[in-house]
Amino acid sequence: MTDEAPREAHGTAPAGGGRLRRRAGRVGYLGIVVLVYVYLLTPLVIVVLASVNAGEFLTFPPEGFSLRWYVSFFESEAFMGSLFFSLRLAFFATIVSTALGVAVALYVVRFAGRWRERLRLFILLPLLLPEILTAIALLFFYYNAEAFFRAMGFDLGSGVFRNSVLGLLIGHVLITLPFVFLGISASLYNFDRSLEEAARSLGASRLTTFRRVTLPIIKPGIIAGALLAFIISFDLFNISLLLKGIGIATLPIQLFDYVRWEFDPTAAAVATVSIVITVIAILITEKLVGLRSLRF
Amino acid sequence: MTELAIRGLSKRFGDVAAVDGFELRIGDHELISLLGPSGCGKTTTLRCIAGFESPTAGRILFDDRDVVGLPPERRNIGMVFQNYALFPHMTVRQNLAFGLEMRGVSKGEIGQRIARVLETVQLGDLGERYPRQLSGGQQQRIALARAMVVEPSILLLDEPLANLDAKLREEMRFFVRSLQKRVGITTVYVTHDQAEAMVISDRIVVMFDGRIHQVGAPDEIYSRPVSREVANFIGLSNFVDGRVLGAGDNGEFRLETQVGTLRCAYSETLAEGREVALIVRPEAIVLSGAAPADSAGSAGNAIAGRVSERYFLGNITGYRIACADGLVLQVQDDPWAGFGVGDEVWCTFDAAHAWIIPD
Repeated sequence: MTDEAPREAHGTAPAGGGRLRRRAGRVGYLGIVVLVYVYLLTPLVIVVLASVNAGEFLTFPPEGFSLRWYVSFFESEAFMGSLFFSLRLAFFATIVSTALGVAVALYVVRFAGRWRERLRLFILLPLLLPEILTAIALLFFYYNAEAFFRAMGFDLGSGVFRNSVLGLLIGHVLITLPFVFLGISASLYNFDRSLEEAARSLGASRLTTFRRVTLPIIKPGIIAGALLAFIISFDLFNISLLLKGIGIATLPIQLFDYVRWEFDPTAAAVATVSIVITVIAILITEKLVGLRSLRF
Repeated sequence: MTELAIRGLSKRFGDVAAVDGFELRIGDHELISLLGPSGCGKTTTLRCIAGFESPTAGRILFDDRDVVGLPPERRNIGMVFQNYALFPHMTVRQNLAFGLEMRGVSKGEIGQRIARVLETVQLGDLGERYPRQLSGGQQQRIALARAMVVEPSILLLDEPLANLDAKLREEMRFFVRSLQKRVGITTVYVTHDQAEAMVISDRIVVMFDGRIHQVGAPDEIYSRPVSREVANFIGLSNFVDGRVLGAGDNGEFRLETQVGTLRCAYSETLAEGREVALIVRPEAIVLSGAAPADSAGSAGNAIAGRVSERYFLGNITGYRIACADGLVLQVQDDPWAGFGVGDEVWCTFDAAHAWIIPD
């Protein structure tokens, strides 16, 4: 048993009581970590188990094994439509917020000077405020902007922002931008500017330097940020609920609508598919740049 | 090859003048060091030459062509940075090819020139490595090779050896020196290490607070410094304050000091009665147990004192000698001189080995 003593104790010959206390502390700490993981993972496990339930209702423990709820999910036009809509929306939100994120992070880190911290906070606001608040504010803004354009005599039809995919996309970009920004600005803060100067001294223009030196070096930050943006956009609920147009539904919204009226395990199958998509996104990132780059 | 002329260069950051009225001509094949403490403006001067800073005033001429308006990439320079700045995502070969690709050199020639430069820096077999797989000294040599392979008009080095350990740093001094001589490229070398500047330079530019104090060959800077700052920054010095009594024979002056009349070589004219400082280096002083026979005569100076400290440095022995009127002289003598603390000694030095700084 003594070989389990903490390494720090080695050579200091502590009193038996102290060593015992340290051991107890370590076990207690480990226990808390395990509890946190159990707390986080149990719902996921239960959802996955419930999705293969052979019974008629969303119950746990499952009554036998069956994939029928997956079949019902893949056969449901509403669910498949919203799944592909969510994937497309997440894809475009990721593209836009990554492009914006690179530009914004470059400006804030490199050129903002004494405004840097204030700008940083400003960009991170959607992360700090409750999502529903951002959604309501955006909805208000859309309403007023459209009223303004109508007053100017433009015919906007059923609305440019409200009830439109554009409005939803802007909302998703707003929420995902802080994550992209954090990833990219972290890699820019650690960036050694003399690398760019070396490239310039060797005859590369600003643009070539950015393309051949800066971009490849901050790429892990960009990919990590883009991954987070995709996952978050794919899971976004509040803002989608307020900004979606009539007849548009993202997967989380469709799921919400479904469980209001039905209580069969299709919902669990949908949730499991979401989990799988998220895991795939993480695995792709691991393959491309390694999960280390997810540390901010 | 290229001559570099800097005319009235000034660079201000807000209210601070980082560089003030810098004037210098650097000849073809010459290696010039900018030497000074941190914050003296030497790096800013280098960055102005490179084009990373734009001067507040002044002109920078590469062979009579003013480059002040040009961005760095159009100046045809080679630069080596303190942290090497090798591109971490490229192999050694790709690092070396970068500048050649920017100049549109053909693939075949790129290969040949890289092979040749790797040979020159004696790292022929490391082409496929990444920078992180190289030691500090190897990275440094690749950085040097990357700057030289493009055959720049001017080579700029910003404290290139500062990150190396002491032993390697001394080796690399000679390597850089012989490489520069072999290629014959006009070079500006920034350093705060006076020993490095001494070994490596044709001429040294000593800077303080953005201004040039002195420009000269290493031995000239060392033995004939123009100011106390220069004398203090380069090597150890003893200062003895005094007043000019008059000119003696063969370019000597007699000074009245707190330890009696001393004689000293000086090249300029000095008015009688002027307050000056005599400077004599510790190794120029010889200790002797007895008063020299002609202490009042010919070329010698002699100051009586008592050994207050003695320390052994291996190749030399250092002493601190307490003289009259609170004057303390630092002396370096050969390690076999057998004086101990408390001994009465005479510090003698030749007038030709001392110098005058007009304060």
